Amino acid sequence: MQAARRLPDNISPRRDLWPAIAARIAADERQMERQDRWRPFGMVAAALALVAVSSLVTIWVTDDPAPRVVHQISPGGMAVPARSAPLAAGFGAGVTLGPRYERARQELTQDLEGRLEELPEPSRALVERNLQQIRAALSEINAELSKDPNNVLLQQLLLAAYQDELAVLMNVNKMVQTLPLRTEI
Amino acid sequence: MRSRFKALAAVAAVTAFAAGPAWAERMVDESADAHPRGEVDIANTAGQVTVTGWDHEQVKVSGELGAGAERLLFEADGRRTEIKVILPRGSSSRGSSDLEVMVPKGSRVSINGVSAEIMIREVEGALRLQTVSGEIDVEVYGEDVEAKTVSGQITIRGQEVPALLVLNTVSGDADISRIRGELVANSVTGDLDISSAELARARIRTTNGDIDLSTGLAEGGRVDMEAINGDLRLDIINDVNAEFDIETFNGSINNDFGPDAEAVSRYTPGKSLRFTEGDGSSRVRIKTLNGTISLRGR
Repeated sequence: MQAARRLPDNISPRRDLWPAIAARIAADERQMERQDRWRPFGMVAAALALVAVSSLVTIWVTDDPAPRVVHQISPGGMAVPARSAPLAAGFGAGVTLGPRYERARQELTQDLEGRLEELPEPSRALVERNLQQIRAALSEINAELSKDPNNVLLQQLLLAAYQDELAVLMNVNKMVQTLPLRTEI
Repeated sequence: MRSRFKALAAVAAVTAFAAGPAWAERMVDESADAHPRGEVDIANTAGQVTVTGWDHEQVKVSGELGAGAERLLFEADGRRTEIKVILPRGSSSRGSSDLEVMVPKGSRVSINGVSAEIMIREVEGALRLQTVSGEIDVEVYGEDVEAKTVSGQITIRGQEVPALLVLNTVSGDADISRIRGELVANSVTGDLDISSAELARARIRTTNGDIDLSTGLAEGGRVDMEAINGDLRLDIINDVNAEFDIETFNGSINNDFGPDAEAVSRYTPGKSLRFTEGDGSSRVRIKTLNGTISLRGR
């Protein structure tokens, strides 16, 4: 016990270790800082790689080429899109007719595109030119309504023009469906 | 041996020639008993279909099947008669066949065609007619008539008897006369030329065609005309007793009676005209975006 009491309270190291420890801590912090700085770039790169890979897989699986706009020469000599897609159904500035209407319109347009092949070429071109005229009228009225949103006449004409477009799509669809083109027995 | 073969070949050739090619033009002549107010459905892709009403309780079809037509289907089961020009499966030929069909006067007739021309005379039952590019030429009696075409001309002659008439054309023009009752007509670029002694209801629309309506207004009648770029003209041929609501966004209004049109606002080129003439029992509404509106009265 007496020998233990003779031991000193503190023993100082022979050399100062702290400067070396502090230097190592500082070096680790710098490395972590560098890693943090690059982490967002790494995440973005990973996301881009993922998108690219999934897109390639999708293209490979569906084998669906990008839609092409086919042009033909109208009898008048003017190039017109053979399959003109309707513009989004707007109703003046910032107003749309809603997803249900858009869906119905899109379905009718797609149905008609498939069925138009059944029509003789002059009738097909004529239907497409007339649909373009309706769509040009829709654009014109929409543009005017954007400038004058409270104009009741424009609202009435625009709604009626949308109905006309649907009516033409439906009527021609129905007509082509009932054509006696081929034997049915 | 060789001479026997030659003889057989010659016989076969003569037989084949005598029989004719499978789908050469040939005459048809069929008839069957029919209900006096039965249905007659006719389908002919190309050529002509002429239907005439008669006083017999019988449907009779005659005419010529075009080259490319396989055969004529003719089936009658009391109330319904079906007449159809059958084309061979997979054939690109549309075959032009001409049919003349006699039906009981009170029959309801339905006709479908692609480029077939349709003509109907003296049939008093309801008519449902459709042809893509062929002409439709019809007499209308007191029953409903529906006519649809993409580019064919529509000619309708009424008998001054009230009926419901529904017309849809894309680019074909329509010439309608001597009708009464109710009219619904729509076109995209086709012009609509209509004359009537009196209409109770009319709703006539076009996108870029013109509408020319000459009619008397029934008491309590309603006339509604609309266009986007077409010109609209209304001639009222009886005493005018109506409320008028007329407006154009960018065109002009010519009024033969009543007040002049007024500018809608200082900032837009639009004109409007609202007034009442006589007892105002009928209503006339005419609207257009860019077209000219002309109003004339007696």
